[in-house]
This record gives sequence, C-alpha cells and structure tokens, in this order.
Amino acid sequence: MAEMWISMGPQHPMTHGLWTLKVKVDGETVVDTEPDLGYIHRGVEKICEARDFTQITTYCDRLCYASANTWSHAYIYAAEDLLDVEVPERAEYIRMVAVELQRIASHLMWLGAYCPDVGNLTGMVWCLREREMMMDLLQELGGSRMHYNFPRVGGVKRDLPIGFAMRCRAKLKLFLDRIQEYEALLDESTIFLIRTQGVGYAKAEEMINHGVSGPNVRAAGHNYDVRWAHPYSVYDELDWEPSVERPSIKGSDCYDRYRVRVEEMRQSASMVLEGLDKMPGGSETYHEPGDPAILAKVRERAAEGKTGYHHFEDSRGESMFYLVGGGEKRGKHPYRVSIRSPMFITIPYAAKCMIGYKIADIPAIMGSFDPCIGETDR
Amino acid sequence: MTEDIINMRGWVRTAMDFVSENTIGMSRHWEYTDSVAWFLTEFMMCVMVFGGIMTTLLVLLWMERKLLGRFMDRRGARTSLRSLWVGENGVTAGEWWTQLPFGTGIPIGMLNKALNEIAGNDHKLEAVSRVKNRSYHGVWWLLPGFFQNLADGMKFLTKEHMVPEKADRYVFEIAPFLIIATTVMCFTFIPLGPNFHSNNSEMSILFLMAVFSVAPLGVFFAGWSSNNKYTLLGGIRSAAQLTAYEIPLLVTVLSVVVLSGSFNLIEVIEFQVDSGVWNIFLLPLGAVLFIVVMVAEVERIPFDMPEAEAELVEGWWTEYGGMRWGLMFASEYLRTYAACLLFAHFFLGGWEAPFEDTIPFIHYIPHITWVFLKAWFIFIFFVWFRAALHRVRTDQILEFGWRWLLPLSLVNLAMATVLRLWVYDGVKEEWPILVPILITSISLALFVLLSIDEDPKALEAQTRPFSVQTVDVASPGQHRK
Amino acid sequence: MELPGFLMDPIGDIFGSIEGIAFGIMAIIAIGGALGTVYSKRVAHSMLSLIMCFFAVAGVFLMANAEMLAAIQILVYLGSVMLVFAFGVMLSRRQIMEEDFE
Repeated sequence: MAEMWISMGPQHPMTHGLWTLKVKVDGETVVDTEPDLGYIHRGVEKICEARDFTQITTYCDRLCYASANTWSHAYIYAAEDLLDVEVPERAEYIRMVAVELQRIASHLMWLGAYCPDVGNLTGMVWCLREREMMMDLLQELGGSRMHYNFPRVGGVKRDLPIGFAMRCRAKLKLFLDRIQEYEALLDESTIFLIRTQGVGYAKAEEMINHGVSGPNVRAAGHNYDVRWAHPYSVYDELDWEPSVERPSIKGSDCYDRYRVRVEEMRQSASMVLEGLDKMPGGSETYHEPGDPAILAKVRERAAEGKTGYHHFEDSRGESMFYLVGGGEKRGKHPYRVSIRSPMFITIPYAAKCMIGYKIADIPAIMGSFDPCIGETDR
Repeated sequence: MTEDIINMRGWVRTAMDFVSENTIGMSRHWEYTDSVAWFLTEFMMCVMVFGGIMTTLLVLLWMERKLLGRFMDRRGARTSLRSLWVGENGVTAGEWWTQLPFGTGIPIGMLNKALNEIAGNDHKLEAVSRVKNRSYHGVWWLLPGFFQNLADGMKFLTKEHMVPEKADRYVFEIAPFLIIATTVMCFTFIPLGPNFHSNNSEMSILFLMAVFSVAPLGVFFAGWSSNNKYTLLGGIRSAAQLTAYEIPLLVTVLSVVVLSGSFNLIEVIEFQVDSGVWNIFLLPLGAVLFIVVMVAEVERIPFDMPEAEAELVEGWWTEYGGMRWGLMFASEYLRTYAACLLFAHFFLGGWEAPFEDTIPFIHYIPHITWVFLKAWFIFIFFVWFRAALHRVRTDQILEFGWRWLLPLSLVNLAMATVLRLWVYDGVKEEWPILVPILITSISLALFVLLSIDEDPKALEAQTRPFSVQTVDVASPGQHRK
Repeated sequence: MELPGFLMDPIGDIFGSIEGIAFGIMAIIAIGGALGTVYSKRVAHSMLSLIMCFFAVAGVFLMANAEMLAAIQILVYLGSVMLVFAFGVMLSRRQIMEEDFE
C-alpha cells in the first residue's frame, strides 16, 4: 500500500484537545509525524499585561482545564517573587493541599483519558468517579468546580472550611484503596501490558535535550522534580521522595509513564495527609478570609524593571512564569508576562517518539505523555 | 425430535393447509395445493423466526447498556440491584405516563407511586443523589430504558442519508446491503425451538458459516468506497482480522460437527439431547475457542480493531449515517446474537432445559425459552469482556489468531475425533458417564491454574513479560534514592 | 388462434416452470456479473460483479441439488478467495483513492 498522510485532528479522539497530528503511514506503520498546534491560542500573555496582579490569577486558572490550581499557583509564586511578599506558613500549607489535590485530579483525568485510548471505557468511568471526590474537595476550597481562583498574592482566598480535614482524610483513604482497583484493572490485564510495554520508547537524554520535564522525564529514570530539586513552599518540610521509574536502556515506555503517574497520585495523597497533620494552627481551626494568618499584606505595584520568576512542578512538567514589573507608568499591571508551558515542549517530542510504531500505538503513546492543549497554545 | 408444547410448525402448516385448500384447492389448479401450503408455511416460519430474532435483539441492546452501566459504575451489587426498582421519595425518572392520551397513564402512575411509597428510597437530597447515582428510579417491570432502542431506531429513520461527494456511490450503497442481507440470512439456519425453525437443511451449519463469512467483503467494500483514509484502514483491518479468525472458527465448528456426526444444526442439538451430555462438557476447549473467535468475528472489544474509536474514529463505518448506519449497527448486534445462539446450540444443548429428565414438569416450559435464556447468558460474557478488557493491536490480533487459536483449534478437532471414534458408545448411543465428568474437572483445574498468571519469579526479578527489551528492565518505583 | 401457453394458463404455467424461471434469473445474473467483471472501469466494481456472479453460480448449484457445492462456493470463493483478491488488488496499486492527500 502506498504511503499516505492521515490528518488526525483537530477533532479526533486521540488528540485530547484541539490540535492536529499529521501522520504519514506506510500501511499500518507510522513513518513520519508532524504536529500542528495553535488552534486555541488566546494570547494569555498579552492579556495579562493589561490586568493587575490579582486578576491575572483567573487567566492562569484557565491555562489548563484539567489542572487549574497548579497553574494559578505557579503564577502566584512568581508574582510573590516580584512583589517581595512573605507568605504565612499556614497559607503555604493550604496551597500545598490544594495543589496536590489538583495533581491527583489531573492525573486521574489523564488516566481516565488513557484508558479509552487503549480501548477500555471502564477505567475512564472509574477514574472520573474518583476525580469527582477530588473536585468536591477543591470545590470546598475554591468555591467552584473547575477554575478555582484560589490563591491570592500573599496567601490564599479562604482558610480550610470547617470539617474539610476530616472529609479530606476520609476521601483520600478511600482513594488510596481505589488506586488498587485501577491497578487490578490495568496492571493485571495482559492486554493492557502488551499495549503499553515496549511501546513508545523515550530516552532520558533526548528528553532533557528537548526540555521535556515532569513525570515524563521521571519515568525515564531522571530524578528531576522541582519540588525536590529546588524546594519551594513547604515541600522540604514534608517527608517524601519523587517517584522515579527505572527504565530500560531503550528508554521509558508507556507503561513507565503510567506507573510513574499512579505512584505520584499515591504520593500526593500521602503528602496531603501529612500536610493536614503538620499544618500550623491545626487543620481544624478556621480563619476568616483576609486574616493575617492566611493572607499577608502586599504591595499592589511592582517597581520598574524588577523581575519575578518561579518554576513550579505542574502536573505535566515544569511550568515557569517570568514577570517584569512595570513601575508607575503601568500602574498595577506587569510590564511583561511570559509563560513556559511543559506540554508545548513535550508534544513535538512525543510526536517524534511514535515513529516506527503502528497506527494503533499513536493514541497509546500520545496519551501516555498527557497532552493538554490549553496550556500548550496559551 | 424433542417434544415441545409449542408445535409452531405444525400449527402454521395446519392453518396454511386450510388457506390453501380453500383458495387454490377450489380452482382448477388444485394439484398445486400442497406446494402452495408448503410455500406459505416456509414463508410464515421465516417471518416468525426473523420477527422473533429482531424483537429479542432489543433485549441484547438493553442488556449491554444496563450491564455496562453496572460494570463501570460499580457501586456494589446491592446498591446497583436496588436502584433497578427503587425510586426516591416516590419520584421516578421521567413520568412518561403523563404523556399518554385520555388519562390512560394515570393508573400506571398511581401504581408506580404506590410501589415507591412501599419500597422507595426516602433519601432527603433526592436531586443530589440522583445526579450522583445516575441510576434508574423506577420500577423494574417497566424495563427501564428498554424502549430507548425504538427511539434510537426512529431517530435513525428520520436522519438524512448522506453520501460523501467523492465516495464511490455505487459501491457505497451496495456494501451495507451485502452486510445486512448476509447477516439476516444467517438466521434462516438457526432454529429457535424443536418446532420453531425456518428451515431444516442437511447442510445448515455449512450454509450458516458460508453466509456468515460474506460480511467481511461488505465491510471491505464499505471501507474502500467511502474514500476516507480511516474507513480504508478500518476496512482492510476488518478484512484481515475476519479472514484470520474464519479458519479457527470453521475448525472449531467442524469439531462440533465431528462430535455430533451431522452438519445439520437441529441434529447437533438432538444429539446432545439424546446422549444426555452437552458438548461443553466434552469440548471445553472448543467452547472457549468458539467464544474468543466469535468475539473477534463480531468485532467487539478486545478485538474491535476495525472500528477502533481511539485511532480510526469509527473505522469502516465512519462515513455512513442515518438508517444505513443504524442497520449496520443492528447487523453487528445480529451477528453477536447469532454467535450467542450458536454457542447455545453447539455447546449448551440448544433448547434442552437443564436437568430436563430429572426436574418434573419442566418440559411444560416452552423450549424456546431456554434457547433465548442461554443466548442471553452468553451475551453477558460478551459484555463482561467489553467492560474488563482493552483493545488489542492489529499485529497482536493476527499473531494471536494464527499462532494460538489455529493450533488450539486443530488440537480441539483431534480431541473431538478421538472422543467420537473411540469413546462414544455407538450401540447405546450415549457417552460413558465418567468421560464428561473427567474432562470437565480436568479443564476446570487447568483453567484455575492458568488464571493464576502471576509469575513469582518474574515478580521477583522485576522483569516485564510483554516487553521486547532484554538488556535492562524497569521496575515500578524501585529506583528511588 | 392458438395463444401461447403462458397466456392460456398463466398460473399453471408459472407453477410449472418456476424452476426454469429461477434458473433463467440466475443465469442472467451470472452472465451479467461476468460481463461486468470484464468491462467495469474500476477494479472494485468488477470485483463486486464477480461476487454477484459467484452468488448466482451458487444459486444454480443449489437448484441442481448440489447443496454442498453451493455452500462451498459461497464459503471458499466468496468468503476467502474474493478477500484475497481484494487484498491483492487494493494493496498493490499505487493510487488507492481518487486523489491522494497532497
């Protein structure tokens, strides 16, 4: 059969978003790929230049619909670096709880999308069911189900609601049980193993050269987790270690990337539980919004030419924010906002990663990298 | 033949004799009376068998939806079962009886309300729990969701039939007919009861398999003619897969034929009834092979490569719409239904009731009941596979077919031959009673042994059984510092 | 004047010659299919015609009381040989579709 180009996308079950993957196939074998991005470019960076520092949070929430909290927190740390804010420790703990719950929800969303990619709908329904618990917890914190707008420059919007710690512990305990069910459905299924093992090899050196980060590079055996390597927030006070897979010399396959995310979900759950225990003032006390224990007093304007920068362990990799203060001329607005999205770097690499495999492996490989197009196109 | 209280063929023949005698028998062409009665009988039986199949096909669709919901939601058996009949606060989902004209629905509503007051769920937050539970809040005998299929059918009927501009119109229109016609034709040869069959041909199994094997051609042409790359790939995948699985299927069916000594499906069933042993206890391997191969033949998960929705959006039927799509979808389920019915006939004794000789008065239940119950029971397995398994890749499907199923089916054929030639008691026309017991217990033990697939050594060494890598192995979470 | 038989006694004629009529239909379909196989411009059309021809031949076998032969005709020629044909033809041509993706 002649070689032909297949255009997968912009609306295709494989894409998990709005983009096109052009695939050149020879029969069933993938010969060449070409990702085509930019369908939902919103110009977030430019919009943010005309918003003050509190307003930008909402735009950062909307960078990734599956992982809103991590993105707004990534921005908040950069803004606090720019504005020289000292954040109360209780607020840091609450942020950690919010971010790790969001990480669990995001990984569950990934696993839920990955199961239909390899042909099973049951996994998706199960994952979304557990994600619902995380969404409920996050809704208690942020007040909405998807775009929470939870952090504030200098702290958080609200304290933990009364009874949150109790409900959170109960749900996470249930969740840790349910992870074993996923493993029973996936790891013990021979078909899942033959679909993921030995498929989509990605080497750590190549990924580092491309700039891929996060769980994808940890699956290839490179121990780089921003929370671990450059601890921010309260991560150095918690008892944890990054989950890293030991891959073959060919690199990490889809199964590695699946395992590393499942381990991360466990880890995040235990981090949240530990954080609830260690929280200064106790996790059961409640402060009114705006209380100094959870929200520090901040300046509203940044000096001209001053820069704020933070890199943050997002659910999908290392996200960075770079802010430049505008001084009096720009009012409360920053002069420049620049966003480094992990998936913008990962997707082209993942597209090259699937050359030589079969068409049926395209969703398996692409899904294993956890693409999110909202943050990619920004 | 098995005695049955429903002598459908006899009744129809009597009625048609009467009709024929009073019309053509009165004319000067009276010598054709018998032929006309015969023709009308066959015609009526065909209509009745097809009607029965088509009506009960709704059960399959309904079972699939409900079972999948239970499997996937998995809120525990008790909650799930209870949600089948229990409403909440006397409120049931969709009070459809209010829509009936002239107040005819009022008694239904009152009955439903009374039942829910007796056995209802008095949850205070009914809206919340309805959203979260997503279960039916009604009474089970209303068959929740059963008539959804009719609504779907109406929707397909009202949809426009579109042909892609660059499609090959001639082939595009013919391909669905090829698929649907041959699929429906299968049921000509499948009896539903001792006296409830449209045809009793000597070669019925051979004809059945012949007709069953034509549909891949239709699929291939449907995929090719749509002038779409996804459909083309889906069509080629389908053709390759169905061809590869046709051979194990035929060999497995041949083993049943060898065991029963007839190509006639009705005689195969009668053989099981007479000898008193269902074939599944003699050929367990054949039963497993048959169901695996049939899952591949009807293109269901885990072998639904041709319509893999993750990569080929819907495979070979991407471009079809409206009732053509609906009929092709129905023909997929008809093929599944044929597979279930064939399994019941080949391996589960067809219309014979379980313990028919020992349980008193059981023969007063019409035998058609057992045929349907057995077929639906087998369909539960099909749904179970779908809920539990993932999709296999193309090359893995073909490899599995050629390297495992084909040799195993040949082994099965050899077993059937040995059983028939040297074990079967041709004089008394029955099996030595020890043989099925022995075979069944040995295969059950083997099944249990094989289903414990955890290899302790592999777990110890952290190897990966299904990876091609050899030099270094990965292990979950072992490499932490 | 002597009318033709089928006008004098239409019902009886039809009953009497139903096999002949059926054979005629089968033969016409078979010949038409064979002609279509040869004269079709596109390969898929000629393959479809060949399928039609095979079906008709199976029907003729059936009428000759060769049930086994008919079943084998459908099973082997239609089910398998035609698919192999389809593969051979479709996979060996350079240009499969009307126009290739640019």
